[in-house]
Amino acid sequence: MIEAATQAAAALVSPERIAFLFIGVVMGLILGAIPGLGGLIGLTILIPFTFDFDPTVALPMLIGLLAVNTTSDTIPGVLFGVPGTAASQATILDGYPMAQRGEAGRAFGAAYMASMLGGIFGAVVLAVSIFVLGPLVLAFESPEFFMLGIFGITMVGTLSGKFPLRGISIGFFGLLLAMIGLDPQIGLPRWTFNSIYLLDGLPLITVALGIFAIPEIADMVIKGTQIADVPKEALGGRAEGIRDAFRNWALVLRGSAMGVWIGAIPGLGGSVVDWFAYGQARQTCKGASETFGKGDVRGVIAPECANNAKDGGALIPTILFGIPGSGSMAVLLVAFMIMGLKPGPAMITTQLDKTYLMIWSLAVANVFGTGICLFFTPQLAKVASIRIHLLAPVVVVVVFLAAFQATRSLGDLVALIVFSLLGWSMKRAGWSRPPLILGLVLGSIIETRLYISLQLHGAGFLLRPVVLVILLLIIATVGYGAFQERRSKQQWVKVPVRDED
Amino acid sequence: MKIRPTILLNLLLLAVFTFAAVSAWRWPFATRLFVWAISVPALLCLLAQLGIDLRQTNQAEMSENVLETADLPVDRSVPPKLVLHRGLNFLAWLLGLFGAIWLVGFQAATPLFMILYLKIQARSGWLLSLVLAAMIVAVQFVLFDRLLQIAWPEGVLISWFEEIIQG
Repeated sequence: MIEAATQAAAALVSPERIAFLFIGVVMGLILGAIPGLGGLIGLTILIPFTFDFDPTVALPMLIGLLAVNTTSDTIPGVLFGVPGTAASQATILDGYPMAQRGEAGRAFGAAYMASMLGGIFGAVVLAVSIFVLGPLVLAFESPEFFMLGIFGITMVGTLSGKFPLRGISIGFFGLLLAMIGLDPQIGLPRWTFNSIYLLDGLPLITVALGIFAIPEIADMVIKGTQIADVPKEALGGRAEGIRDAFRNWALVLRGSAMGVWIGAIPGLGGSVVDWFAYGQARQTCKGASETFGKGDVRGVIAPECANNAKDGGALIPTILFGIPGSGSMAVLLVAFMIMGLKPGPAMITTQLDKTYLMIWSLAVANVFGTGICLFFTPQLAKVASIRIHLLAPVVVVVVFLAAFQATRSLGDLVALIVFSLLGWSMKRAGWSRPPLILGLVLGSIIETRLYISLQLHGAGFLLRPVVLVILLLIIATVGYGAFQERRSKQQWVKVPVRDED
Repeated sequence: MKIRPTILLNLLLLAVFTFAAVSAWRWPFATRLFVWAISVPALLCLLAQLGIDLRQTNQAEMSENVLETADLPVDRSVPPKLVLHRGLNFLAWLLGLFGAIWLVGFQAATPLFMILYLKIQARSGWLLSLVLAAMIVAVQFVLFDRLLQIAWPEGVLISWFEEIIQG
């Protein structure tokens, strides 16, 4: 393993890979700084352009993009009170009041340094997990991986919102979509409706672009946001903020550990990690009950280190078990499939060098990201204030071109529009979208594992000890979902129905 | 009483899963097994969710926080009617771009879309519209045409004109 880690480090320092990592980092920072965009959308748009790339070049770029958008998302949050991504909502509570009293620079310094330390912490934990969990992964066979796939969809579906039944159903809908095309066993066409385009199945990336990218742009256009000009106080005081991060090293460690933990639980991820970290900081920091929410730098440090550390945590189940820890990781799985990387045992045996390349990329990207943010905050803040109506047509054209890259057929564009409509409807109606992508990604794997399990063990594969344990976990997850459903029902508010509703 | 979008989505999925389960009936066992293994629990989940949603329809509407999911956040500051109006407007632009690609091909459609969107929707000046359109054309040419060597589909109109010219 150490040899593989050293080889991966040596591979990363080649000028070509560092250059692509840097490009990914810059793109990630720009996307993070624009409210409404972010790593998930950026990753979805970028993947089609890496089809012809070597995985050792594409992986650093994709990881670079993903790792740092929670570093620059602080900029619109602190300056304008608008979170750059869902993972920086808690940062606003103290970051924005700091900016209002002229301490934006200090908030940025603390946030960037905490982000870097959190990101490196996440990468270290990921590296250690490969050692610790490796033997467990190698002991798994097809029945266990089949059951793990079902567990992943159930868990992501259950934890990805307050309506777990919707999450599970939509995950299964993703599995159904994955079955479109030729049956892998006997070559029978399934739901192709005599269309040649559908014989090869739906292209993952086109569906992902439709489900995530276009609905986000549509919502930004609908809202028509225009952010105010960049205030001058974006410049000074960053050194003091950096010192704040080091002075509060114990808080950084606690927040980072919490970030890794939340990130590793499939289905939670970015939208809650900052709140968990902020909450624990408020409970554990001295005098926090009086100062938090009024511009306390510790209220910036805690969520910022956690939201960068979460990517290391989210990569653990993604790489080792093929269960993504977040929506971004589900899209990253799409990239893995396109590159021919199979999550699971191969990632710690034959593809170990790629796994370590991702770990190194994660750590180095966080250093690059912090460095760039420290020097270019005013420029990134200007990006955050671009008018959406200027940005929208550019992104739409790029998304159309990216979708067309999938199979280079006009069918890709039809699929893009159909799934854009579905994605937007799901988002507005409160149906979580990540389980759909997860189902689509895992569909062929789960079906093949089921087929192999039945061939080798018959129906008796369900009685294998580990399979039974995972089955119990699935039942517990669904039970928890039912409990959540009951709780959410209690939140219904009884008001007369208005005509327009 | 109007049916909420979530119920419509639920009914759509119910129809899709029912179609999947029924159409798999005539397939060999190995092929239909997986379809049924996922369709049956999905139908049960959807029916349970539909029951929950329908019970609430007459007396209540959901509070904003109930709609929270571990997805990207939804902005609900814009009134629903305006959301629908602007959403349909945006869809029309998407369909327009698709129609233009089908008729005249990618290379002509993308700059045309850029200029029209920026002039009509964004109400930008000619200079900015032309500069942004030129940038997109440059990216399309360098990245897609030269580096990725994409064979662009010919527009239907272009094909017709070529046929007419060739007699």
